[in-house]
Amino acid sequence: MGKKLSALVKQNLTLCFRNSLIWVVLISMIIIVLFVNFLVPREYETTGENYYLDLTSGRSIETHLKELGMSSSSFMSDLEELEGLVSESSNAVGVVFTGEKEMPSVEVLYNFHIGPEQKNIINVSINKLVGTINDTWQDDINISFLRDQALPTPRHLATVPVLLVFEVLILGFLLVAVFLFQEKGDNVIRAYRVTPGGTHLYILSKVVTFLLLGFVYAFGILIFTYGVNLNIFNFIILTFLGFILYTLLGLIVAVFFEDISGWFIVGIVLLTLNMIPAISHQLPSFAPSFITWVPSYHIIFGYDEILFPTGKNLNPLFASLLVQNIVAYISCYLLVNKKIIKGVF
Amino acid sequence: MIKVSNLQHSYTNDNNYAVKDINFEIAEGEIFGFLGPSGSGKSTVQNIMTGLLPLQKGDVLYNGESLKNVSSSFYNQIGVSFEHPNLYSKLTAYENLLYFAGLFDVPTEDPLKLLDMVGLRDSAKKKTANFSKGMKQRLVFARALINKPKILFLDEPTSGLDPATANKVKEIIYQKKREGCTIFLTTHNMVAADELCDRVAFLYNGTIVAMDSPRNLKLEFGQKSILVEYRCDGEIKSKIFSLSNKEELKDFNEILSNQDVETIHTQEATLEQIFIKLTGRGLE
Amino acid sequence: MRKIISIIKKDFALSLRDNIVIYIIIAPLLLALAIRMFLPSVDEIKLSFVMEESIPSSYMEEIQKFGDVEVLPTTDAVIERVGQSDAIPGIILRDNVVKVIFEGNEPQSILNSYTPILESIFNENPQLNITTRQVGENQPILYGVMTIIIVMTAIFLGGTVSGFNIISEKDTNVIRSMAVSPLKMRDFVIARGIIATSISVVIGLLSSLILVGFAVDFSKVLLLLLASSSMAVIISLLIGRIANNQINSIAAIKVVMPVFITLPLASLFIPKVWHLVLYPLPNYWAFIGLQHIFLSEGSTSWFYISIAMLFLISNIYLVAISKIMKKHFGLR
Repeated sequence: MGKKLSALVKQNLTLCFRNSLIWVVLISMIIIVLFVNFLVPREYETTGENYYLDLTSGRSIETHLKELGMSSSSFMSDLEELEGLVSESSNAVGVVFTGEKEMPSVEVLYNFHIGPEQKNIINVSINKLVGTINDTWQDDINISFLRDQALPTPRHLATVPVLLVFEVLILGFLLVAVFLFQEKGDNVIRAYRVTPGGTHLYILSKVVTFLLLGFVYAFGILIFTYGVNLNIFNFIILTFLGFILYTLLGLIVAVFFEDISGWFIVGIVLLTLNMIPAISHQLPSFAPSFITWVPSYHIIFGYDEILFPTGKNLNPLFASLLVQNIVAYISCYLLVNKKIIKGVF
Repeated sequence: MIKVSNLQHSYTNDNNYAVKDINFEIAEGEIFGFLGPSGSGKSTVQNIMTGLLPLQKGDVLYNGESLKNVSSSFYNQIGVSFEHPNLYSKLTAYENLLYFAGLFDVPTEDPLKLLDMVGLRDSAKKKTANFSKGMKQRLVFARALINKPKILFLDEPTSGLDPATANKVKEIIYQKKREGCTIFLTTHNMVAADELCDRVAFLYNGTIVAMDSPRNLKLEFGQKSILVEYRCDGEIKSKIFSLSNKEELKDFNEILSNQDVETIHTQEATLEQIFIKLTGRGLE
Repeated sequence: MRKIISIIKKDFALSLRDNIVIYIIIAPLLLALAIRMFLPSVDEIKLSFVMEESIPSSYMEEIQKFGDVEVLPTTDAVIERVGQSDAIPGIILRDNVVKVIFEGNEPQSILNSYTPILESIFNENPQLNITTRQVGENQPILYGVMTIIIVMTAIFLGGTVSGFNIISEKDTNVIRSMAVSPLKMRDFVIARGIIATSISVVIGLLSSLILVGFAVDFSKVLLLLLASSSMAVIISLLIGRIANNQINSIAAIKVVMPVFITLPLASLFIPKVWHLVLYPLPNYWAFIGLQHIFLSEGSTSWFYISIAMLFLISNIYLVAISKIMKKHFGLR
């Protein structure tokens, strides 16, 4: 088996070169490294802009807020100016204070629809703001943390787990489909079927080949963006399990199609759905249960923990991925055996 | 060595059979030919025998062991040359053979030696995407020999080849036979079948209509006579003489001695003529 | 003209017989529909909390005004829930004292969102008289960004369809027969441009309609899509040049598409002075125009400047690339 596997892996790697797939990986890697290092800022805000108009006597709220560090450009001089700014900005909120500083009346201006919960959240923030100025806000709550609080993550490096999942891991999903359709187009599967090769060898040869490429890609991105100051062992395990899972899933999907035309839409839709957990990664409070079923959800946070450790145990994730891989392999074996190795065509 | 019994196959899983009641045996070291027009079921039978199509009804025994029970090591013993070339277009000729060789558990031939045998040594480093049809066919044939098989399945091995190259391929086939290889050959080329095969079976509409050695079939269905063309008084005349008629043989001798004989042809039937006689249609 | 029409007819006939092309056209529309159904829940993101059952129900009623509350039977269950990947605080009762627990890996922005709420619920804090008023009818920013991405994708896909047709001609060697016909490179490019633009316009307009309805000026969307036609042709020529068959084209698309769409997106985050680096890219100007349409960014005159820049720059590149490609395709 070892000799045959080695022969097929060499063949597949040669085909990767001849199909320029190696170049695709290298160029994509360079683009990603440049993107992370030079285009994504270290810090950026995902919340909207707030603008204020203080119509209280003496504009004392404005004075206090400026003392707290707020920029002058956040304060407008009249209502018309504030309304214009809010209505034209894509994500701005305007706050108008009238009455007395100690207990002002507040009007909040929005330019898009928001739900009652979000209104309440904004209202609480304003209550706290005014309460802090007037020194009436009580912030006595008993907060504790399960683990030491994590250091703030540089925004540009926070994109690395996302890129590892949606660029590196899905590479196996794409490549295995590309290879399968090329083999169908060349009709070489027939020749393979009259050799002692078998289904296990067919699957393993693909997995091993693409895993090698995947590791090059993953380490290339990691080294040139984050560096190597991390738990390399965990990184290797997560990449290993994640990449194999996506390759097997890719093969499971691809066997149902005769050519790339048929596969294209299904493949792209699945890859797009796979990307939904990126929203949860950027907005961690957004995690409806259906998202947690997408394989990439837990993997992104796994990479997060490896790159920005907080002491979380990753063994349950690894165990879960191992089980998923076993199930995926069995399904893949049955399908490939039926549709490719023993299929009639 | 190979025994095929009551083979039947339907592509539509109903009573519409592509092949039915196929029975034949092939002795070890024999070249056995399946002759028939396109669509007669030749490739279907071969695909069943190599496991590319499932065994629906009937059985195929290899040295007494059913095809249903063979393990993957069976494929170490066989080589298959396909009618339609199926090569990795992005790999060179050499690489196609090299990586294929890696799939076998048995000693394999040197790819360069095989390429030399089929006249592709100079194209060893060229990608097969740039090969002509004939070159691809030769490479597919060479690939079938990589594992030094005991049984060869050849589907139209000389199709698309010029006469010189076709002869080369036939020589290799003869060589393999001399080495003890059992060869199952499917073709609609009666000349190739006549030259190569120890025995042939005519396949028509999925059934075998005749099976014997080419010589016996010709004797059975042909005429034992000769056609002579000779020049007489400036004109070309022709006459047929029966070999079993002594009087006619005397006339033949006289013409041979006294006339300016230009051509002599035996009137034995070709395999194609026999096929037409049996089925009412040709091989093309 | 006849040659151009002939190529267009042939390309449309082939495209409709090729599933991949039909899917390319339908997929963005399906994606737009999915976003339309799915995104409201993103932009009305509620915070989530998990509480132990024994916490007084009055607290739960208060917390429910701010988000979803999950109730679990024991402290350990709450702690385990807090330890999961998402950012959710747990509220437990320990020694008759209400405690709030976080995992510790939450970004500061998340803590800043939750802390005032919890302080407000568990303390007697003054409540101001706050009213709200909606001014303007903008879509949530995420909608605007998604719409921009889909319209950019529409332009790219228009070029991709044309690119696939070129690849098919290369793969089957039909391009050699075109090379020995009176067809010129100029006609080849114009025909491809019309096809690419038609597809981009259809996908772009329909997906905008699905996502934002009639809330934007569609004449501007149409103008931008028409101005992008040369850019779509550039994409088709690039794909047609790089790839020799459909399979290779997937690899080519994998590299080119993210660059096409992501580079302009980066302009949202980088300092304005760095935008100069993006000025030579026609897709940057397309993005600026789309920002004006869907995010109300920039003035109308700046929109028309971006359209003009898009048209000018993309045509300069197209002329240059056409000259280079002429030799590769063997056309005059």
